Amino acid sequence: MPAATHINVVYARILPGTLLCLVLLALIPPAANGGEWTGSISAETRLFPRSPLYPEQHGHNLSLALRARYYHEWPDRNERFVFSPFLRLDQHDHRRTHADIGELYWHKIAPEWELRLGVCKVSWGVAESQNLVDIINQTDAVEGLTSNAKLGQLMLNFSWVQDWGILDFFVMPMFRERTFTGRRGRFRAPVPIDHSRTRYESSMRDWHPDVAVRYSHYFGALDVGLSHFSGTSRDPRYLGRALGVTIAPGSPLANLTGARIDSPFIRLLQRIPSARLLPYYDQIEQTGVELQYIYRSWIFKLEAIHRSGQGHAYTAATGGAEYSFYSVFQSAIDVTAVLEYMWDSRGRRALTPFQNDIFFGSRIAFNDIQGTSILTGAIVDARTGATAFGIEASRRLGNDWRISVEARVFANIPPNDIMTTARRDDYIQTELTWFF
Amino acid sequence: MKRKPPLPRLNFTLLTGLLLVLATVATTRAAADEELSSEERGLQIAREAWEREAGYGDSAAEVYMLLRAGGGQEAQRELRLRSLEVSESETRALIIFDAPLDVRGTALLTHSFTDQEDNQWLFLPAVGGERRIAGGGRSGPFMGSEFAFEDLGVQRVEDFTYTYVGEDTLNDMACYVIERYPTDSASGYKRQVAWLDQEHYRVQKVDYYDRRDELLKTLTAEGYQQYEGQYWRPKKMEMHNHQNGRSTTLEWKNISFDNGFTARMFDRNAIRSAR
Repeated sequence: MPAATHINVVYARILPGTLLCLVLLALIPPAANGGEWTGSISAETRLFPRSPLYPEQHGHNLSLALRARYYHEWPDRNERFVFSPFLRLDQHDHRRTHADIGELYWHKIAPEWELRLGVCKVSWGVAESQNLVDIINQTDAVEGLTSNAKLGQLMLNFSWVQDWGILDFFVMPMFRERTFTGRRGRFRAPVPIDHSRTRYESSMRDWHPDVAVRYSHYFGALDVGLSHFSGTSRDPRYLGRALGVTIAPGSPLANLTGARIDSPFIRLLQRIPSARLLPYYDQIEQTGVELQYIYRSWIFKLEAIHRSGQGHAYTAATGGAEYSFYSVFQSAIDVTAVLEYMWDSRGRRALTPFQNDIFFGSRIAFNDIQGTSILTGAIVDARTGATAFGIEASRRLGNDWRISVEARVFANIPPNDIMTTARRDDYIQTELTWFF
Repeated sequence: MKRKPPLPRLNFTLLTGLLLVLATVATTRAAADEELSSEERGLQIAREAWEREAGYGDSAAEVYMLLRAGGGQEAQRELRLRSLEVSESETRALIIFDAPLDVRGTALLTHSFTDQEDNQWLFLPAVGGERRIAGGGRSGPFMGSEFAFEDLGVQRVEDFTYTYVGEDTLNDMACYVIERYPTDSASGYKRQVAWLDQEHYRVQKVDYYDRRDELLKTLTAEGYQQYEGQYWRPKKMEMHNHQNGRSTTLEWKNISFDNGFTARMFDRNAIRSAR
């Protein structure tokens, strides 16, 4: 791609968002002058020690991110207004250069209910390794492999707050497409993804009104969450397209895509330079359960979903336990050990790499003045031994800065694993963040 | 206050201030009773101090902490604290962190019970959801300071057993000295020696002894002010660690009572939008 085109693409991707942000800023009513801005600016470097799988990928990458939040409240009316814009500039991957409105909502709080109207972020789930039930917001997948970053979701959220629990209703009129690493970025798909040809099962495409309901409460030491979602799947299936022909979702060949990247079909597509994968978003029904039980220093966790409408109906679950050792060896350090198992009834046909995997990890909190912490974790496929190992350490510098270092290593990834295109993408990342 | 006469040892002076000091009278009279064991006297003083603090309804305050480590290294913490007595057996507290900036917006909600395990939720703004957390780790430091979680939480009478040590004079105040032993085996302390002034039962000083029974920390409180005509709060608390030489100063500002807080403002949903 010529440099000028690259820059045009970059501007095309962040300009609409940035302009919208500026307009919204201008629209913040004068009455809201009492509000406050907070946020952070981060500089990130990534080093990839191993040579890339694709020649257009790079061995190092620089990136800048701005996260801001405007907050205003009218205490006498129990109303709030929140606006959180986000902007990332990436050196190489124009798909990772993106802007988003993470939050932009009005929030009313009454004694027995709450109402949120606008763009919000909602997080569900109890497990450490992955949150299967978490389906309201789209994943901002370009942010990082493990960042859990989400895109803002336009919604109407009514919470009914009662002694017997909280009942949340969601209506989501507009769907957000998942973000994907571009061709020049690491952690990319084996065949480039064509966003301009995204397909939907619904004829209303991304304007299908999705709905969800969730009940949550706690009974003593037991936390319970029950949810149901009906609408556009947040994770797509992929349709192969080559030489002007797209494999239709109903075709038997379509079932060969997904996780089966060793399928002859995907191998064929990889040989055709013009071949693309098209994201295809099904209409699904998903029921989720979350359970968490606390017993002294133990926390037991279980998340499970049943989903239909995306190929064959399936069930997936993540469960495990964590145990905390406080003040180890008479020091201030707390260590929490976590063990979880991830299962998916589709087995190797799953769209996720975590279909029969074990996660073990630890969180170490030093409880020092700098708030030093270290997270480690490894996910091992119980059958193939494919392993992703990660470590993250972070520490405060003064009052306004934080530095974090993260490393990830992939080992034993077989060629037919969904993670295979990331097998040479071990990296070390350093991020310096200034808070304001 | 509903206690009925006879009160045989009441003298005329006490009668004049009867309404205010009746509770104290009962205690002082009993404390003077030679038949009480030192355990009973210690417990009685602790219970009296607790009862004087109970019934405040709700309160809010801002807290500023200055952490001093060796070599002149300093760090600041700012947080806001709100609490509500929901019933005799339940207190709810919400802590919102303002500084350091990387934890700004983090909120910690605790429902403390006298008769069951506490419930605790943590809200991290970056994650966007609240998480129920295990209540352990009470002996660990609070935000890297010399205050442990257990030093700052609600200290119930039942959390300790007591011994009455004697009387002492501290800063020209006549004090009771009691020793208290944590009943929780997860506590970082073997014992604490506390000085409470005899007039108002306010904690003036506490020596904390670690599990090996060596002097670990000393807490001193100063600048007590009375609120609502009843509740005493210090302006400043200093925790000095004798073993590592570090110290933390904790200052209270804008203390207020009777804010009209409701239980709803301390429920699991409210933590998401706590400010």
